[in-house]
Parts: sequence; C-alpha cells; structure tokens
Amino acid sequence: MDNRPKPKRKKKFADRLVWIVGAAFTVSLILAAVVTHLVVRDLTASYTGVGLNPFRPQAQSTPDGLQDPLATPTLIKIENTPQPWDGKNRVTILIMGLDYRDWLVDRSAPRSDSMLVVTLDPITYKAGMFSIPRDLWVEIPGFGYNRINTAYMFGEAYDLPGGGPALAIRTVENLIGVPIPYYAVIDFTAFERVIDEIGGIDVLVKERMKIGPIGELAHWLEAKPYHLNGADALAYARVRKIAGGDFGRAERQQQVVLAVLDRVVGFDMLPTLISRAPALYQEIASGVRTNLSLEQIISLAWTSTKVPKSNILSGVIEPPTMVGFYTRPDGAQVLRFVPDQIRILRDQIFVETSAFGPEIAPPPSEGYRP
Amino acid sequence: MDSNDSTPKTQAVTQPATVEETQPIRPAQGHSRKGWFNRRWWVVMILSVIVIMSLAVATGYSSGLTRRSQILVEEAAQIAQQQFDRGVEELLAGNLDLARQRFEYVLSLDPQFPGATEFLEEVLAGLNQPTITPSPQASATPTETPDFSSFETTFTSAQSAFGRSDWTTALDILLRLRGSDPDFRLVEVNQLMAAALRNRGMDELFAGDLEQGIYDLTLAERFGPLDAQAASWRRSAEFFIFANSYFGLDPALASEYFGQICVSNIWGACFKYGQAAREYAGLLAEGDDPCAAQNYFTIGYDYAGVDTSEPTATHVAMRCATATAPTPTPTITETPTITATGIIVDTPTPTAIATATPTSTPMGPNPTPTLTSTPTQTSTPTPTVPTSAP
Repeated sequence: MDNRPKPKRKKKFADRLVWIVGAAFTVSLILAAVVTHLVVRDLTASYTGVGLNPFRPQAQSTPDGLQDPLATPTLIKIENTPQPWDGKNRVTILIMGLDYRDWLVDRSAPRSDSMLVVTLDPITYKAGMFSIPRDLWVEIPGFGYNRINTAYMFGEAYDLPGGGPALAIRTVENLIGVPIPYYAVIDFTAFERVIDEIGGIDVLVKERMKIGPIGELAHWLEAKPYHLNGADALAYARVRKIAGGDFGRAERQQQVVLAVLDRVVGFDMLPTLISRAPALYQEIASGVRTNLSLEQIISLAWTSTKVPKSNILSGVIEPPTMVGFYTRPDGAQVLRFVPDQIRILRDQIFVETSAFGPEIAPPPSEGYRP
Repeated sequence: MDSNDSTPKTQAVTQPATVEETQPIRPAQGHSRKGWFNRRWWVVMILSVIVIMSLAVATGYSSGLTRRSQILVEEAAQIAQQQFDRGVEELLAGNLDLARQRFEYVLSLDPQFPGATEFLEEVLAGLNQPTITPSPQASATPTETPDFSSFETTFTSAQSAFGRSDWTTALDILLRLRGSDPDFRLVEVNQLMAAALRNRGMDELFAGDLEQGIYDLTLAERFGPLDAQAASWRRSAEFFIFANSYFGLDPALASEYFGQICVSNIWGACFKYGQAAREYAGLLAEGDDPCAAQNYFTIGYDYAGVDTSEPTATHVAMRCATATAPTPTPTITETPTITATGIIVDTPTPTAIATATPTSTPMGPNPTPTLTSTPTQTSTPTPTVPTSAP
C-alpha cells in the first residue's frame, strides 16, 4: 500500500516531463519555423539575381512589317533588364577593367582601362574575344566624339540610366553592331583574388618585359613560360611600355583569359569552384559589377568547357589596317577606326561562328582541352 | 518468462509475487507499448518538423518574392523620379539627346509616368526625330507564350511571331529550334531566319542604329544575296559610318563625305555636314584662304545653325572681302579738314566691308538638324565607300 503511490508519482512526473519536453519541442519548432521564414524571406527579398539595369534601347519592329517598314513612325522600346540567358542563345559580354590611375587620384568616375568583348555560342560551340583599344575615337551617344574609354566615365559622372556600363555598352554596340546584353566591370583586386583562388596561371611570356605588380617591387620577366600569381598576372596583363603598347597589351589580356580557362578546365577545378560558387561570388562581389546572375555565371562556365580550344577565335582592333593614328588640334593622339576593316574582324568572330546560318556543324566530340 | 510476461494476473494468483518481482515485469509490458507509442510519436514529430519547416520555407520564399517586387517597384519609382528630374534639367539646358535617353528610360520603367511622354515628344520634336504615337510600352499587346511542346508547334510559334513583325522573338524561337534539331524543316527555317534578320536589320537602319542594322543584314546575307533595297540601304549606312569615322579628326574629309550623304538628307547627315564644315572652316581661317573658310562657315550656318564661331566667321568674312575687293582707287584729299581742335581727320576711303559682313542671323532656313523622319526608299543614295585607309 505504501508503495503504490510511488509509481503514480513517477508516472505523473514522467508524463509531466513528456509534456514539458513536448512543449519545449513545439515552442522550439515554432521558433525555428519563424526564424527560417524570416531568413528565407529576407534572402529572397534581397537576392535580385542581376546587377544594374543595362539600359539598352532597341528598335521596336513596326507593326506593318515586311511590306512597308517605313509606313509607321519608329517606336523606341527600352529593355529594362537583360533577357535571361536560356543557355541556347549566343551570349555576349563586355568585360571592362577600370583605370587604376583614376582610382589613385580618387576620381569619382574612372575611365575604362581595357575593353574586351567575349562571346559564346552554345549551339555552334564557338567562342570569341574581341579587344577594343581605349584610344579609339568614336561617337559616344549624347556626348559627341571622344575616346571610347571615356564612355564609362561619362555614364557614371552624368548619372545616366544604367550608369557607365550602359553607356559603354551602347558605344561598343554602335561600333561593332553586335548586341551586348551583359557586362562585367572588374576591379583589379578582384582579378588578383580570382587568379589566386585558382592557384595561379601558366603563361608563355613572348618577350622580355618589366612588370610592376601593385604593392610589390617591379621585376623582369624573361621570354619563357611562367606560373604567375594574381598580382603578377595582373601586372603582366596591364604592362604597356613595351613594343606593341596597347595592342600588345590587348593580346596579353586575351592570353590571360585563355590561361584562366586552361587552369580551370585542365585541373578539373570547375566542379570544385562551382561547389564553392556562392562563397566565391560573395568574396569577389565587391570587386565585380555585373548584370549576370550567379546561375548564369555557373552556366556560362560550364558551357565554356564544352567549347574546343580550336573553336575560340580572338582578335584585336589594331594597326596597320584597322586603325589610323591621328593627332587632334588639341594635341591628343587618338585612333581613327577603319569601319570596313573592323567589320571583317567582327564577321570572323561573330558572323561566321553564329548559329544564324544555312546549317550548323554537329557539336564537337570533345570539349576544351588545355 | 514469456508466459509470465504475457499472463501476470494468473501468475499473481498461483504464486504471490512481491512488488520488486513485479516491477520489472510491468514496466517491461508498458515499455513495449510505450516503445511502439514512442516510435509513432517520433514519426509524428519528424513529419511535423518537415511539414512545418517546409511551410516556413515556402511562406518565407513567397513573402520574400512579394517583398522583393515591392522593393523593386519602390526603387524603380525612385529612379524614375530622379531620371525624370534630370531629364527636365537636360531639356532646359538644351541637351536634347541626353534628355531623350532619360525620358525614354523613365517611360520604360513606368509608361504612365506623368509628363514623361509629353516631354519626350517635345525632345523628339527638337531633335527632329519621329515622334512616339503611344507611350512605348503602355499599348504593348501581351504576346502569346511560345509553345515549345513539339518542333512543329515551336515552328508555328516562330511563324506567329514573324507575322506580328516581332523579328527578335521569331529569331529566338528559330534558334531554339535549330539548337534542338538542326535539320528540322531546314529550308523553311532558313527562309524565316533570313527574312527576320533582314527585316530587323532594316528596322535598325531606319531607327538610326546603323552598325546594328549592317550586322543583321550581314547575317541575313549568309542565307543568300540581299535584295536591292536592303543592299542599297546597307551601302548608305556603311558610307555614313565611314564619313563619321573622320569626324573630329579630318574635318575636310568629314565635310566632303557628309556633304555627299546630305543630298539624301538621312540620319542627320546634313547637321553633321554643317558641323564638320564649320570645324574645317575654323582650320582654314587660321591659314591664308579666308574665302574658302567663309564658304565653309556659310555651310555650317546653313546646316548646323549658329554657334560660338560667329566672331571668327565675321573676321574671316572681313578678310575675304578685303582680299577680294577691287583695288581701291586712291582718293586724293586735296586739303585735310582742320577741326577746331586741330586734329586732322582723314576723309573715309571706300571699303566693301559693310556689304560683306555676315549678320548673326543664320543663313540657312533651319538651324536644327534636318533629319527626315521617314526617309523614303527612293531617296537612298548609293555612294561608294572609298578604299579604306587608316
């Protein structure tokens, strides 16, 4: 008799414990759900996927169409955001590096130091790179005539819709005629970090040159193969004061791009990099301004590995045929573009590799091989 | 033990058991039930965690999407207002091209933005550009979603887009089709691609996007020769760009080439002709041919209106008049007039300055760019682009 209440108390206690644990669990679950809800909500709200509006006006087709395209006034349609890349259409990106000297003197609106148009056609598995010299004398929409590297600066300084990238894109589109929906403005620091992240790149230095990595002592590179870290690779891509000047520099920049691809594909780093993509993206986000989303960057990187190296064409707008040297009355030395010669290069890289053609070659049996 | 476990009451009758003996038995029996019970509870708990957390993620995502769209709308409204204000400033400052860019952008964000359409029309009128009929996107009819369920329906979607003169959509669909099956209806797809590229290229040329139009026509040419109209317009565009490449670098050539295109009066060629001529006149004015400079200044006024070079033009005109004036017959003043103060005043000699001095009124009828809004097809010039020289 004395012992009978004991199990009851224990049972009561156990039941109470169960209820307490259950209640605690329920409360924890509700709290976790609320926190999850808030985190997911904030993440979703803050992730826009794309950067700035590229502000690309497009001529809208007239409703009457084929028979009489002049019958109605031309309407101008503005494209708010770039069309999402579906992995099928050709993708073209204007890659710009900003002028380091402008950063040094703390100018609010820097000029673009280098301009490289990169294109990739996922149907024909062909790609191309097209470098534009910064002293090219062109018409900048709304700002008269000037060097092409000032387009970015004007767009930023005058707070145009889409800023510097939008005006730079429009200017380059007017020069080569190719639609450019995407851009990437790369800060030198981010460039260095990316190169370091992939463990450096291998380049064949073609002539002896002195490079001055930022924050390091200048040193010489001999004409031989090198494995360069981020700082040296940047200095190598930027050096101008050797034979070839800007044009040789453009070629070296293309060489560096290919070296990055060699490294990523050759060492089979892409899966690793993709798995670390969000962290990498965050890390370099401060140094790269782009309207490409993370998914698009990953998709592009993946597609680029399927393009054989022999299908990657490259070209530089350079003398003697494509530009002429002129000195303006104010003493400025600039380059006149020779349109029909530039068109020949443009056609080699963009037209002859396009899926817009009577027929397309079957996909290559193997992808990129360093 | 098994029988004991299963029949505890029987066991209690035959052989009284102590509490200690029964203790392990009852919990064992209870444990068995509780174990089953607990397992069920565990399943319920895990399921409830999954369900509740999934609900949290789903509602969070949905709520985030709503919030994101709200943020975007607010940002767009803010940006639109900023750009509208800047556009008005540009308009007042006479920077019509920049004002146009800003107002077009505002309308792209909000087709109903108050005042933007009116200001854009004012700007376009100032630029002598085609005016917009409706607001750019307000009247846009919703386009049907392309049906990609089969190659045949995809092709039909492309034809439908082509029928709507939506060349870009038609080309996108055809590209998708080609990417999926390069051999599907090869001839028809090629024909549609070529026509869409050609038409888009022509539209771009008419809109003033010359190099873009040339690019599309070049793509269209991969399928076969261009028709005469397209080829002619492309040649004109190439010549315009060729002339433009000399602007600011070689004003003599720029004015010469733009002068040829000005005959057709397309793409603002006459305005550029006037500007280039004026720049060339400025160079000539520094030399020893003031009359040639005066001629080019006159062209500049005719086609590009008045600007800050007017004093130079006046000076050049005076020099030209002096240089070309007939040798003045020496007038012999027999006796100088002696004034009361004793200062000798020469009698005026004849000069031609008064009649040769240009007035500040522009000599041309229209100081604004004289771009014809819709150039007619018959007016297409077909100049030959000179051999390229850097």
